[in-house]
Amino acid sequence: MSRARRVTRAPAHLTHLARLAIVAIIAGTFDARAMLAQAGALDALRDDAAREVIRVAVAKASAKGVPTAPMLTKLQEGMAKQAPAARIAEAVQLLGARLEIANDALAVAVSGDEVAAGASALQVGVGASVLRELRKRWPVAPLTVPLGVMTQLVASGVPVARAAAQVRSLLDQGATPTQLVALNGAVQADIAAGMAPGVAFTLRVGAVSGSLSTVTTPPTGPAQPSQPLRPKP
Amino acid sequence: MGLMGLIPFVVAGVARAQGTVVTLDAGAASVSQPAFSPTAAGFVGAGLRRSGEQLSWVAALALSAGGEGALASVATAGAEFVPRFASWWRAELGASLALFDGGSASGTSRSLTTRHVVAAGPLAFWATGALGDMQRRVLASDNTMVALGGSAAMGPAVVGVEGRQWRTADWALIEAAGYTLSRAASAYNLRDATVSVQLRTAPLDWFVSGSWRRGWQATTGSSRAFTAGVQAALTPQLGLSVFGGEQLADPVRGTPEMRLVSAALRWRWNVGGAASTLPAFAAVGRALVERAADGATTLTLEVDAPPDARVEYSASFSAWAAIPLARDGTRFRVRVPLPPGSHRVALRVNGGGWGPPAGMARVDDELGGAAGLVVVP
Repeated sequence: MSRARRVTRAPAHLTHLARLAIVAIIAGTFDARAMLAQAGALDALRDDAAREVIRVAVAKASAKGVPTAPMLTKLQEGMAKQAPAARIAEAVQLLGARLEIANDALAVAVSGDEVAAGASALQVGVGASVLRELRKRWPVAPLTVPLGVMTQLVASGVPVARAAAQVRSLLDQGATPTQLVALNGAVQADIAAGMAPGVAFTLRVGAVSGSLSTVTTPPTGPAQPSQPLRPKP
Repeated sequence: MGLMGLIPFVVAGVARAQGTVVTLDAGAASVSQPAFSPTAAGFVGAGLRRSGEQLSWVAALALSAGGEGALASVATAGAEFVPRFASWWRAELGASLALFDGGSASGTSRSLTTRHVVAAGPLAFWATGALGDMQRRVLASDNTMVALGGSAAMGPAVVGVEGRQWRTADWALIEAAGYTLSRAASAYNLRDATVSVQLRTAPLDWFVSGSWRRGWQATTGSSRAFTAGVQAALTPQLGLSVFGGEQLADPVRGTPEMRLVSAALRWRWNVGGAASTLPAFAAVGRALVERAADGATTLTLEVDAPPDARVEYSASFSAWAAIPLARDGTRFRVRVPLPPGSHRVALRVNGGGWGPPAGMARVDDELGGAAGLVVVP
């Protein structure tokens, strides 16, 4: 006679909690790894003052819930490029400030990548108001790609106001991240071929816009650019 | 006169180094000129080269002493410019001053040379112009040379071809090589063609060349010269070179036609500690981002650089570690998968400055340089 195996199943809410715990443990592990890597990278920086500036900047960002991974990456970049320690510290500080502004403007941010993309956009001159408006219109949609494309366009010479307004308009018309990236790729290729950035952007936006159906009314008025964060003289 | 011809083999090659490099040479040779019996000679030399990202300079001094109290010394200085905006172009300017004392052949020689090299993948093309001024006792002559050449790298071998045209009034040098004037003329005119092959089979570098010369216009006569040599890296700092063959007369530097067999040791000290022996510069590469139907995105980086260059990329997705690009056909290339997100990428050659590849938006890295930006959906 076989004995029936007793199968126990945890209540659904407990299973969910267990999953959350596992996610938390994994996330904690990654965070610990990041902290360890950061500590290692910081230890390798042979300048006490610069090390302290970076440590304070990272701690300040972390306390405000700002993702600190981009700051670690900037530290690694500076060390890999053998930049002076003071300059690395300044770059990490500046990035921390931009991450904080982006984090506030995009609240509640979908991901750390989104905040990093927002910080990059701020660096090239896109205003925090543009970030806030994008988040207001698309509260749950990831903005990493739209912000990244905007940054690339501005960095390539497209005026900030036009890049911001057109990307926002394309999003209004239902453009997908892939379409935005393709638009940017085409603009970059035109610029590499010698076309003026503004002209290339106008032509390519027209082509993409024509292939999209209008979903909502395009926003009125251009975005207001602001000055990028720069080192103080 | 023959001793001075020996010296270029000492001072040549104090070239293409990263950082600051000091070299010391010492060697011996057997030299024979037409109508002279062979003579033994010893030589020593020292060189210093300082390479920057775009500008490099070199200075060298060599002394040679042979039988019957013959002495020769050559001092050279030169500069090399590789512009950041056009790393495929290299401009060189060199000057030399030679003093020699060999009884009847005492005198001085000064020369100024400029060379422009254009590199396109495994191919290189150059144009050279040189002016020389020779003072030998009562004889004074102004001499010129222009040359066009090209080379092609094929695996470990580099094949080069060069054509030269000379105009000289140094009758003593030219007639000693068997050339005469068929009618009254103000100068001797010569044309050369040289074919050379260099083969790198580490730790040995092989070199062979053949040169053919003919007189033209009023100048009659012809000659040819074949040479072969090998350089061995005994240690990273110490090298041995053995050379044998013939050398055609060089009217610009005042060196005669001769045969020689030489052996030399070179000690090399890299002051900056860098191992590379190549000029460093920020790469001017290309980036191509491709998205497959399944959404997978790849980044291809391509850089045109000399075959022996060290090309690296560094990116935010690789924690900014410098990763070498492999030689693929005629250029350096790497293909890497890109995860979704925003990434920054930079390239460099031979430890030079990091720069963004063409085809990517350029963003300031706030560390004194720039990087390329790419976004993956």
